[in-house]
Amino acid sequence: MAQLPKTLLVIEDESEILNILHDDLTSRGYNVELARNGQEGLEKLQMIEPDLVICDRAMPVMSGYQFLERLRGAYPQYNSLPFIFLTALADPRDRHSVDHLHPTAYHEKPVDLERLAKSVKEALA
Amino acid sequence: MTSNRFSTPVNLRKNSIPVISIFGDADVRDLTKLIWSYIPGYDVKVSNPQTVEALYEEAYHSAVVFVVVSGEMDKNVKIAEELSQTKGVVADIIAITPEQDIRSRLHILSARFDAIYNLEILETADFRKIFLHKLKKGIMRLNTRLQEDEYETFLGFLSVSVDAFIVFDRQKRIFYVSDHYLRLYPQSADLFVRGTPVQKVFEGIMAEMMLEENDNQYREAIAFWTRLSGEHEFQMTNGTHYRMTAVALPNGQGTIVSTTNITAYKNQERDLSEKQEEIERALAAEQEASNLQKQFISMVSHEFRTPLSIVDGNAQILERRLEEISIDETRRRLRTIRSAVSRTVNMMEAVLSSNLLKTGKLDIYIEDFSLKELITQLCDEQRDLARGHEIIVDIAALPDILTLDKKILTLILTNLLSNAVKYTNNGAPQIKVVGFIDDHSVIVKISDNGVGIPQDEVKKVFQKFYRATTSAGVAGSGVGLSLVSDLVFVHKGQIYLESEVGKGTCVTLILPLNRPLSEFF
Repeated sequence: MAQLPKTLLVIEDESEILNILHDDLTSRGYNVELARNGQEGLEKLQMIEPDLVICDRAMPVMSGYQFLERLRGAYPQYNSLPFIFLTALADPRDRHSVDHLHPTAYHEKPVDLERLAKSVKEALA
Repeated sequence: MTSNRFSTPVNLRKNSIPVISIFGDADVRDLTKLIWSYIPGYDVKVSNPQTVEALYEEAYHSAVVFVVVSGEMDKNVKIAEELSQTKGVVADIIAITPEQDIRSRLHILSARFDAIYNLEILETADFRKIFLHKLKKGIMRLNTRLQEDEYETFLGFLSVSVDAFIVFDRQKRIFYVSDHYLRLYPQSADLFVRGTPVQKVFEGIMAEMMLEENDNQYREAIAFWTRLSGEHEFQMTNGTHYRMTAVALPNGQGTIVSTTNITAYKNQERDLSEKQEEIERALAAEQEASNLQKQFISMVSHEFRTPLSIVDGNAQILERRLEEISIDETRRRLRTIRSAVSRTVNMMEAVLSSNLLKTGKLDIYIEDFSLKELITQLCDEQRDLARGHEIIVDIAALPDILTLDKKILTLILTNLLSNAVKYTNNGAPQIKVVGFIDDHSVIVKISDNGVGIPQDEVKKVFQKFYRATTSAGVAGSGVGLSLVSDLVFVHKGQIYLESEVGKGTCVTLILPLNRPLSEFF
């Protein structure tokens, strides 16, 4: 019996990058849901139950940091939800500032799609 | 005891023991002895000067001078006459003569002696009485003169001082005024005389300085002159600063008010505080620049990674699935890559020129060129990059050749056009570019029917790193319009922005028409 495709929630404010991630991850057999900022991401959580979240850090309205904080704080069922950060921030301190929220992985832009796919696969295994 | 020593200076009193001088060619020892016998208990000195010079010296300190003369023709008559006319000599000059003839004696007396006595009279009680009376009077005159000497000395000190002085007595009336005041307040010269009450002095000065009662300086001045103590600083209409200091004299004898010209000091103080402010301003600007620079670098890094992600992401997809995807999709992805590269280049230009602006090294260079051609070219570039944007260009009203800075215009227009394209993503995106001139200006209007900017944010979008809330979902650094406004400023132009959320934005750029280069500096 074929396994149901895993659902990934991708949150990214840059529509071109959102398109790329959607196209690439869909082509790898995932069901990809999209949101353009943290606020939209939270709204999506009311409708879908993602198996993993891929999220940009710097976004208008609600940043990836704020989103993860809310996710870990207000949704106990998502305490161990795999969470992959994408970031264009150059400073390594930015990376360590989210350590306490336990993201599963942290990818710098430009994103290597192969490496990202590997991270996703490992996290879902 | 101590206070007495202050009121009567010891060094001046020391030399002031009154002298009785006895001068004559013949032996004056008997006369001297006789005079001594008349003055037991008197604090006086009897002196026998041997030369004319010594006589003059002693006469200056003498209360009484005896000159022995033998007759009308004696040279001592002449000496005595000169002595009596010498300034500062206050002693009675008394002639002592053996002459019996009263007419001859009167003749000698007329040579300005104060008295003449026959030797034989000297031993009488009457003479003793007369002599002691003359001695007392002489001592009084001597003391008065010594006080005047002291006063002269005091005035001498004051006149060489660089400060101006007024001395008030215990009734607060002028006792002494140094000449400086007459120069300082020439119109009030009549007031600066002994005896003028302090109130009159104050009124005169205020009138001369044209100060009125509600004036701050007036209030400070009246406080000073009323209490007549402490310090008071003020400025003359010619800009000179003075400081008045009032010091009480010992034993409540009065007050001395000194006035010092502190203009140089004030100027130094002002220069110093100006320098200080200048340094603080420079430091603050430096810190702000440094902070901005840090933010800028971090922003730039972030903003470069975004288009690079688009380039790299599409390239990776093409590489991995080239065989599966359609020609159309490939073409779309390649166009996206080109657009992202173009965005990177624009950003690089913006960063480089804004760095130039920050270091103040962006030089304006105006030249003749066709703004029409430039606008057409930039709009063509945007058409290549934008998909489905209709760009309407109406610039026929622009002259063929204009004199402007082409590089600056390119940066400004590229930014404004790419903003218009970026923030217009509805069903039928339309950009309108209109160019024309009036008497003094070149005007370019770029309008779109895009997302718009909320009213309360219109002004803020020109601030560095500010992005309107309606810009969500569109990549940007918040640098573009801030750079544009700097560039417009450098080009002595103006920029206006009108916008309505959901309807679109219109940017009006106004630049000076055909201004010579010299007017830009």
